[in-house]
Amino acid sequence: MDLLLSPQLLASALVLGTLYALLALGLNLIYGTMRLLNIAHGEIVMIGGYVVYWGFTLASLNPFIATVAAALAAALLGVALFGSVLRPMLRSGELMARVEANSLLIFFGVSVILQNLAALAFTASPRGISFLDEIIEIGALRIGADRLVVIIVGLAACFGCLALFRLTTLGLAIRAIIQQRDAAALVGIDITRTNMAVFALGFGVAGLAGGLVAMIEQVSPFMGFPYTIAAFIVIILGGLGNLTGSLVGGLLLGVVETYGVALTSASYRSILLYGVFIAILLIRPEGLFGKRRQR
Amino acid sequence: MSLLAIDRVSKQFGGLAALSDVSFDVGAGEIVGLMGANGAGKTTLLALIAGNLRPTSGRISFDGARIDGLSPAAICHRGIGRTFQIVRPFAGLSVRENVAIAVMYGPGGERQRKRAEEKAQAILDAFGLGPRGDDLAGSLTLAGRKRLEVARVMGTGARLVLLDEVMAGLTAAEVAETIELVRDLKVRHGMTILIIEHVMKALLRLSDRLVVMHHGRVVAIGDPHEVAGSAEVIEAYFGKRRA
Amino acid sequence: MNRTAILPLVLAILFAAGLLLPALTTGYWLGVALTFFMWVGLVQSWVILSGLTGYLSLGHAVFYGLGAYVMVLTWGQVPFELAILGAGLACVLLAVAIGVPCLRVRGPYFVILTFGVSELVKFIVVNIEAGLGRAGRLIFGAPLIETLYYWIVILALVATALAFLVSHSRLGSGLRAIREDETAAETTGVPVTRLKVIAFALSAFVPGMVGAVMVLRTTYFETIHVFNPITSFTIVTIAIIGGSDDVRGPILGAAFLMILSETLLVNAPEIYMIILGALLILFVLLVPKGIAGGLTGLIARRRREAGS
Repeated sequence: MDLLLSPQLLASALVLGTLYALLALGLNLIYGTMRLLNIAHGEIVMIGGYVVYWGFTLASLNPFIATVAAALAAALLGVALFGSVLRPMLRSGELMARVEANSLLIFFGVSVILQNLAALAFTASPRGISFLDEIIEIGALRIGADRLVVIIVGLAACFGCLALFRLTTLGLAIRAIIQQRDAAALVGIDITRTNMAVFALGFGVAGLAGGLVAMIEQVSPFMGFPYTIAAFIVIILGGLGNLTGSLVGGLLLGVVETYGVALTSASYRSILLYGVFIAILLIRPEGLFGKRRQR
Repeated sequence: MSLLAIDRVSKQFGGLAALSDVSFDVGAGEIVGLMGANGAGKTTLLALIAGNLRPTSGRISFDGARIDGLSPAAICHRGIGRTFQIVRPFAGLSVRENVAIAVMYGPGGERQRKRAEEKAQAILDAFGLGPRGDDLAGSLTLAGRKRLEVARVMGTGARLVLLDEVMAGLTAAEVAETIELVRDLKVRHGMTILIIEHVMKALLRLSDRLVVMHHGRVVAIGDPHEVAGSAEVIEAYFGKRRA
Repeated sequence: MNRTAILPLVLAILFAAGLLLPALTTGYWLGVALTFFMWVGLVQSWVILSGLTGYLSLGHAVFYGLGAYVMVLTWGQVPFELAILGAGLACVLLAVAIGVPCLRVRGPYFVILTFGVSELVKFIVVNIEAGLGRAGRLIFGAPLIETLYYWIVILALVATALAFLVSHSRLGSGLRAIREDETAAETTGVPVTRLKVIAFALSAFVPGMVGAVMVLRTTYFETIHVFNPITSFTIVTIAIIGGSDDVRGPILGAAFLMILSETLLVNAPEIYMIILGALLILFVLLVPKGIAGGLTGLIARRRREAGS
């Protein structure tokens, strides 16, 4: 009981929740605008993590800077992927239809490729950096400085994104596309350019999350998948196109997972995660994406 | 005795009342025409009868027994067939297999695939699609696909057929052919038909009775020519007359 | 020669050769052939559900794993032949149990759902084993590899025959209708839920038995290995590369995979996986009907040119 009420646990939940919220935002953007299920999202996190790891280890790069670099690198990767693979496909209607329908398989292939490229380049052993290890005390709370940074930077990034969606023209265009893709094109929104921005943003946010993860956990080539699953849970929970929902849902999942594991045990973490995942898919079969089959 | 009884049926989609308190009967062997402006609720009504949707309130009875709430497959087995406003053929399968599936899974329940294909071919021949049996359903023209959809309903051996704008998008010649085809269903095969159409001449020529809907309600029922000329219907289509 | 007689003939030759192999060679190549027939059995079964209905399962490893688990749990207590059959039946039961809720979910959601289910079952078994104090299990006194080999070839044959029979039956037509347009199918009288569950159950039968036999080959059971998502991924990739429209596809795909893995797997496993991933993407985008489909198209075109 003491454990459950401790501020430590709450802090852990916040750390996890912030990461999940960030990831969900990125995934939600890409699915919302382009109906592409980026199941390789976790691998972008992994790449971001490695950028920070190697930046810190090889170049003694301040992890903050390295994280920004990770975000930029990931954003560039997103733009490159979009420009080279997706944009030519958008021209061919038939090919694009196949991509949407098979996006899951395609991104699964991408995921496998990225994981194994990383394993090839960096070996499969987990690596960690030690940064900002000092414990900070805030009232009754004792938290590692690195974890505190994750919360602060993560939440800042989340709110930054939300501000972008609310206050900028790009954000408006994105929300328009999410709501009604064809109509958005008709009113003059440059779909292709907005989609490219979406990819850059979605991947960039994942890269940023990866950098943050590297500060507090070890990175390894196969670390991405649980994050992908969590992100999927959140976007189904929070709702498609509901970008605020991703923020709330992410924090919620972080809380549920952290407290759930505290109540049971660490080995139940995966069962909990996948259990929730399956439950949502079953209870809302079309998710909040497809038209609710009216009966 | 009426074959189909629609009793105070309503359908709500969230805040939208697609159908409100719709009631009418269809007698065995009749052709009942259903007309109304877009959004009047005609297709929704057909979807409710066929089981693709469930009514929010009211009852639908077929052959004396209640059918609202049953699955589409169960309703098909009772003897009701339906075409879709936007055709839905099994595009990747052959024309023959499209009808064969109806023969195998409709109320007839032909278990042998070979025999089902033979029966399907016979139906295709009757519908003028005979030579296209081996072609992919997706390769047919729109007229062909609409015809296939009716042939598929035929394959199930339905007693009540729900036709949804089978003439939309057809040329004048194709419309004339389709009118004969529909009349044949009643005269030669004894089917009862509920038909939605915007092509007025077809509706007036085929229907024994005409039901007019507007904003989800029935505004007129009766003899086709009387109803079509009535004041309410004209008002529904064109608005109030300015004095 | 009559075109329709070619396929059964080729298959007959394939399986006869398979059964004769132990007389000709042992050790390494027998192992390769065993793996080949294993994939044939797994993918033909997968096609019964995913090829025909379009509901792509990315979690078929769950049946392989459950089959293996049944075998290790009953090892030494029942004759292994019975255990193999039991493994198959257990998987059929599992498929029926999870099929009803899961098959209501369509499209890509079904795909990730099956993946999730496979992972969930994996972690449940991990926890069960941990609760029982087991880190892994050894099997002593397993049958000889020749025996296991015959079993795998038979299972591959059963799976191929099952896929063929279902595809050409009334059930197959109904399943294809579901793939083309589920709503129209249901309106035409097809009992969609029932058929989907039947297909799912049939697709689980042989994989369960295959898992049971394969764990006897390795003589070592570890949960993470038998419920491996890479198995699910490989099954899907083989089906996409080889084609899933008829029984040739999985065989061609499995052969292709064996060639690839023989050259790469031991020395460069990561490169092997990268190529597999790339092939999956390529084939999904550009060659959706797989090698078998490509061959059919090629033959059809040649005929047209010859005929004209």
